[in-house]
Amino acid sequence: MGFFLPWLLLAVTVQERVLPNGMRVILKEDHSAPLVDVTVVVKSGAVYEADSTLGMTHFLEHLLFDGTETQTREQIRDRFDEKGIYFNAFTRHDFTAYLINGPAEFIDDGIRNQADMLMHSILPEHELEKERQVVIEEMHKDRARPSEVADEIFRSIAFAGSPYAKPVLGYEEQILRVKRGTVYRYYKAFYRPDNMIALVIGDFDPDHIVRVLEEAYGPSPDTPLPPPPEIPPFDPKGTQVVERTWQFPSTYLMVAFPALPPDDPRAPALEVLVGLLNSEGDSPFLQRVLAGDPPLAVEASFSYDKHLGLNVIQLTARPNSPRDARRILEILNETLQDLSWITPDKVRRTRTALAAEHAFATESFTYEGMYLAYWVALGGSYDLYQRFYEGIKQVTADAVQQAGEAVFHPLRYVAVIVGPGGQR
Amino acid sequence: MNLQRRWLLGLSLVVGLLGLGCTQKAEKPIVKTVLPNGLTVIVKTVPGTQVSAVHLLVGHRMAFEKNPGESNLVQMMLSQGAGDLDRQAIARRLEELGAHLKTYDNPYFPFDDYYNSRDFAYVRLKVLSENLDPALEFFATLVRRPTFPEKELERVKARVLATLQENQVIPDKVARLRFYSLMFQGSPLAHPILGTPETVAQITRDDLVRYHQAAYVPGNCILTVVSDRPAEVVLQQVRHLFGDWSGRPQVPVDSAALVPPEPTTVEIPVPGHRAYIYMGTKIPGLQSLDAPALRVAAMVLSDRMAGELREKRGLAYRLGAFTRFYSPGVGVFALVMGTSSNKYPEARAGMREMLESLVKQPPTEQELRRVINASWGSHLRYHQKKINQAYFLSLYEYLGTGYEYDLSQIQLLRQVRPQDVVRVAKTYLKPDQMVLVAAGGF
Repeated sequence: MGFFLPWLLLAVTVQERVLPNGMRVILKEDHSAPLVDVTVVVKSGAVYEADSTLGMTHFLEHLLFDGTETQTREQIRDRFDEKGIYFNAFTRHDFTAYLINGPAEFIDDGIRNQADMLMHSILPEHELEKERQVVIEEMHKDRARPSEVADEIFRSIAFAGSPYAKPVLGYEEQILRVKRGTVYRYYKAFYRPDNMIALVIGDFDPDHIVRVLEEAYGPSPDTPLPPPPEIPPFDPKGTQVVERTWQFPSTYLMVAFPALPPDDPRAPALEVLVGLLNSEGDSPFLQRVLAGDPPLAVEASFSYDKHLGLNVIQLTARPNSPRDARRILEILNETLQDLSWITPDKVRRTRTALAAEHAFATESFTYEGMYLAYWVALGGSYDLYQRFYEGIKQVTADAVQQAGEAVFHPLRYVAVIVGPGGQR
Repeated sequence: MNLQRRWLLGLSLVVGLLGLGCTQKAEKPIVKTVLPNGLTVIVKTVPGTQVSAVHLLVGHRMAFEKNPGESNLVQMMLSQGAGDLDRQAIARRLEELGAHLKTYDNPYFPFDDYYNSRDFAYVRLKVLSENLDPALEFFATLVRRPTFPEKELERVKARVLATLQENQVIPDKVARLRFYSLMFQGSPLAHPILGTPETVAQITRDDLVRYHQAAYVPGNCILTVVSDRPAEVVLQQVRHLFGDWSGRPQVPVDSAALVPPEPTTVEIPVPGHRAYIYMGTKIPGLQSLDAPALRVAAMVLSDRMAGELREKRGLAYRLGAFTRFYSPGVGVFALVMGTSSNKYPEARAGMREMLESLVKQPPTEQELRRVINASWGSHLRYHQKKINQAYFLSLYEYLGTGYEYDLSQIQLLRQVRPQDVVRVAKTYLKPDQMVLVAAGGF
């Protein structure tokens, strides 16, 4: 009996609800493990910040662990730890996510503790000074890594004039200057149930969890929600190549192409095209760049990045030298101008690989919560998320070619080459 | 392991499920067998899982190296040619099967080095369960019949050399490298995993062939499969694919690994405004009766460092304490911290202060319960992935506690009392006896 019982417990059902306080809740029941993951997505990210408040969203994320009206920082942490509940948070350009993951039997208390942090934090003045130092430490950590520095330089050039040009962590000078009152006003404007989406995945009873969420988060204020951010379109005219030097010995090449939004019906085909470009077995680009004679780079990969007002396909490569970076750009142009290398066989393989990748990523509730967070923060539903991944399974070679033509013909991109040559 | 301890572990396997993890819905059957050729095989059945996992642990990776870096290059080359498949054919086959192969850590992914060890090499394969049968056959080809093509080797070496060049300016990489070289002086475990620019440049295809013939032999490997198939079905296929694999490992006794390191302080200048500190010492192996208390001591210390040095003093973003155990029957207990250069003296003093606090302010029962429960929560989270289940079963089998330790460890940790933590701290964690390595812009 014990051996066969798990088969009966594997049924996965998904539902979406909106609570009376305006909070959207996506409930994915999965009884394969006695765990529950609750990821609360707050529509508050770096793109919502003004120039004067850069880095505030991320700074606030840190401060929300520092004490509420009824609990100290230590009490919040101890309450999670006592029950074996993992808790963490991360800030992106488009949103901030707070996640807990723990044994199903203790998740109610985990939700209450998480809600207390998100709704009733007091941002104590003495913690503010300490947290400034922690955030600055985080900045310094990132800036000791060439890959992080390369990304920052790239964004500042490729997306100049857009909020995506700025680092999520902001700048040191601003973090040192920001006042508690400014952070508190920002907090109260964005952290309200009707500006949040709760993603609950795992072994739970939906009606019960909804009641716990509703009670823990309470009502939303009557005031209007903050307006959506204004994001200028990423619309490069033709191809633009910018070169910079820096203090590190390595060279990086990063290229951004404007791409389709995730709700475009051609988006799944574009995802497959990116998969094909990344395929070590089938990508003519990688074959020439990484395995040519001689190889031009030690690493190269493409990603399809979807944001609120910015959808891009990005290439990140580590060429041997700036000269090789320029040669890689020529190969890139050749590969994307003629897409006849895309064949049904290659598309079939890539579809299977992407389906598997998705299955691997969503094997853990925590990762699935993180995956989903991106989708819902962009305004998507679970249905759209599912349709996107189901759509990938149906994509044909013709559809991939058409999506490629829509994005790459005519070729438009911003490329940044960063290489050795002194101080930045 | 003696019989009494085995029995205790077996008992605690059952008892362990009654603790915080009592919510386990059904026991997952696990079967272990050793094939006549010496290959240890562990099979776990998870009915209904869409994702299956195959994990090969190759022991004593550094002991077979003539030149540091050989083991890593062999790992990287496994996907570059095997049987009659070239690199592209292997990549295509992986895609067709819906499989993901991982044989080394990616230096461009943060925290990708979690499973990387200087003690053993791994081959991790995740696959859609429906394709497990052909995937196992493919896996056998990769690990048993790699071809190490010359051209691919040059390309792979160039990648390693580029990583080594970049690592020279990253303080945490510099500090870690030196820390372990001091910790395991005279032992193969001191080898830098990636090698050095000089050794990597010298390594030839013949070196890799020799290494593979010596290390990739059944008696030096543990194969673990976690899938939706009944154990006997998997075992039958494993016998078919690996039963005729031959070769005996000749692993020299690594007595140097057991020698306590000389207490020393090393500061390595690295340009920039960051500093990274490793501070640690050797401890007994995982089979020691003191190991659970040492693990709990690291949890307490990590928690105190986060609460005091990070949350109260704002000294660091990344910090913590950990234990690592190795097959020669030894472990490392270490504290790590990344901070700004100008805070280095304060950070260093803070680490010492935290270490001393284990004796001066013994942990309370409540503190122990909290850190152990938090750790168990992490355990459950990690074990959602089948490949991690396979990894942990292999790991504990390799370290001599038996794969059962993966489930019974919670019970052992819960038996630790505050006075045990104080005792092991007094015995093993003396601040003046530690190796301290710092790298950064001092």
